Amino acid sequence: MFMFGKNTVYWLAWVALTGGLVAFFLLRLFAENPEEDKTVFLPGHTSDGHYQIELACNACHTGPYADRDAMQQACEGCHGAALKEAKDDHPKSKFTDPRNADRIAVLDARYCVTCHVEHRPEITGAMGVTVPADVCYLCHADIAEDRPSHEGMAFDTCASAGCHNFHDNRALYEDFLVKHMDEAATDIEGRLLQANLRDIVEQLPDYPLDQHPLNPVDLAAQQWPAEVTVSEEITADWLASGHAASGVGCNGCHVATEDGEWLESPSHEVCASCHRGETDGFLAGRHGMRLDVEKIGQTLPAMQPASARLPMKSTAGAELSCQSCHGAHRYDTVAAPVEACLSCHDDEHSKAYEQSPHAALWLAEQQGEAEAGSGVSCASCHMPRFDRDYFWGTFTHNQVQHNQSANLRPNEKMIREVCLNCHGLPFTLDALADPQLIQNNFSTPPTVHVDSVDLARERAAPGT
Amino acid sequence: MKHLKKATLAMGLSTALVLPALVLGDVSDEAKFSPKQMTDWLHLVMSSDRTVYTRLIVNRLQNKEKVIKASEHFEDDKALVLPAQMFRFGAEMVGEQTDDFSYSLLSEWPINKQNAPRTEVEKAGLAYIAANKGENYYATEELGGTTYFTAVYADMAVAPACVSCHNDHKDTPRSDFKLGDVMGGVVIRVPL
Amino acid sequence: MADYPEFDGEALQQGREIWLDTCEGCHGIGVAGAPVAGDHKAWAPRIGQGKEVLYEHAIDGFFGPGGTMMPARGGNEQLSEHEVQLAVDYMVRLATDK
Repeated sequence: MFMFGKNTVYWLAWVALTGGLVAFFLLRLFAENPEEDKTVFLPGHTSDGHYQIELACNACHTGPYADRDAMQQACEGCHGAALKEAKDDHPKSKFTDPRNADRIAVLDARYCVTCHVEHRPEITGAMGVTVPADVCYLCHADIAEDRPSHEGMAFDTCASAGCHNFHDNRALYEDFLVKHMDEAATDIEGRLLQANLRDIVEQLPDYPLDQHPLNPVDLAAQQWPAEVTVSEEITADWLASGHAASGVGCNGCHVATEDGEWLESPSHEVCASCHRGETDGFLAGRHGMRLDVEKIGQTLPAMQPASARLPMKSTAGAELSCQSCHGAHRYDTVAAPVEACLSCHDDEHSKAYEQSPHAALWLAEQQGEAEAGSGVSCASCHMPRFDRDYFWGTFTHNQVQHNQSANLRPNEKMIREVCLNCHGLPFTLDALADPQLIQNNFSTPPTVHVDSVDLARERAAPGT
Repeated sequence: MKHLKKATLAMGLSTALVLPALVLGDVSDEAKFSPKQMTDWLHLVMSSDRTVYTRLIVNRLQNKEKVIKASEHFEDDKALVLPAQMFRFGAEMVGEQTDDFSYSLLSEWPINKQNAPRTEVEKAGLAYIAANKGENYYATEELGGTTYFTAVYADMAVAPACVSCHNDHKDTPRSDFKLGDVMGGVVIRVPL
Repeated sequence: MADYPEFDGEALQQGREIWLDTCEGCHGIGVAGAPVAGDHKAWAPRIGQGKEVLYEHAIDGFFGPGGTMMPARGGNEQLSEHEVQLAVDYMVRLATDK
């Protein structure tokens, strides 16, 4: 039997409020628009990099009741290839071996999230690591028995001293140190890779050479819809570009579909029809990761410099696409590697570049006073050219690595691909370990010394 | 009558359940083979593949034709993968694809200390095969809450390169290996 | 370990010592495709080629038709040519002894 009592009003208010709250959360959670702000569900912000996609919950959680294995699949979906490339020293297969069952009881290294917990900014350190720095000690406490030189080293110095990384030791293993231990600090004869697309394009399996033969095309042959206005600036930019020189006219980019529809702003996928590798790098890196629909599982708006965690200039452009660095129509390969970066990036390292020795070399090269490949731009280190092998080395494409994470952090990742082109290993290790040098963009000699080369030398040739 | 009905029903039901299994003849799932047979066969495949690689690739191209060397740092040195590395990479790949069995190459005198025996069975097995050349070692052990059938097979120095590389390596704990010596063992595990 | 027979004569005694030290590691149980000592059938075609061929293969090393490899001096560089020959003689005796 129901009676109106003095509490009825409160009960009704409670029901209304509860209903309202439930409706609010449900509408947010199951919104038609996948870009609906889900911030309210975030248990805490995610780490650098991941924060760009943290509202696309399913990118990592894959589904409402995803278990650890499903999430691991998501981790490997984006990071697996890079770990393989890095010759990961602690791959999952090492820990699924039953003989290491006692070890995974201590540190379950089968799962990325054991060391890289997300949504916990208060305990997240460099490289998104959320375990204490003594993690190596859990399995390698007895290292001094094997390496007496390590006797007495603090239990948290393994990775912090520039000697070891959990995943990537390609430039740190002992025989590599020994092989490079006597190198001079700088090799002024060192040269960086140069573009070779034109030389190998005929062999590239995925380049549409039949549509764009490598002959210059002129303006008279170009067509565009009547309602499109083409300024003189646009035609001049295009005529000066590599595109005009190699058979790519207006329709090469603006008409990309079978039905011949004119695209006002061709997307990165259009670029990918000739520059697949570069585009994949862009989508894997900080600039384009929000656009990787396949991996994220939904369409996000492009990254905006204003949303970056690094300091950016207030004059930085609105959002990131291929054109934001390369400039539509111009595709200037001289401006992109420095000017484009510095038009947004405003941290100390970036601001110090123009006064650095690297910049002086770059300027000399651009002014024709020094050999090709002798200058060092922002991209030389952060988006370097690398030999991409085709058919087991039949030919290589000196492709630009557009995924800046490939050479970013830990900065030892940069050693082989970048620094060793011109510098010796001992100098490189010291320089990369010196925070002051990173801040002043390598304008002064290193003041930090990493012992690893000395230790390797002592074991290779005692007493020398 | 009532009972008969029940019996018929039961027979019908059980036939319906059992018959498909008989007809489809899912014999592959019958536990016909012992874990020992399994590990013996696995080991035969592994050792044969490695022998083929050692003889027809490494020995032929490095020692006989002298066109390419084999090296621990095969990528930097643009060289062939060492037979022991080929074996380990195979083990890693198996580890990535299945939990149904696992294997590793271990030694009482390992260059990399992580490849020293860790479990009691590994220790006993490696000691046994070193002392009883030509014999294998079999045991069961419990690791991480699962019981495994573990087999240990001797791995012998089959080429001068095995001996010289292990004897001369700066990380080796033993420098007097001779050709034909037991240098370590292949450990194969199958969960029971 | 099998009990390998001793034969009369100083050369065969010496050969046995050398053989046990260097050759038995592989030829004892047939490691890496080595023909097992005392296996008459495996040895007959080899002995058929003549002792000079056996000496040469044992001293200089030899690649078998199946990709097998007999290392020079059994991988023991300390051995003199004469010592290798003594060991070969002992193994041939094992393979022909009734």
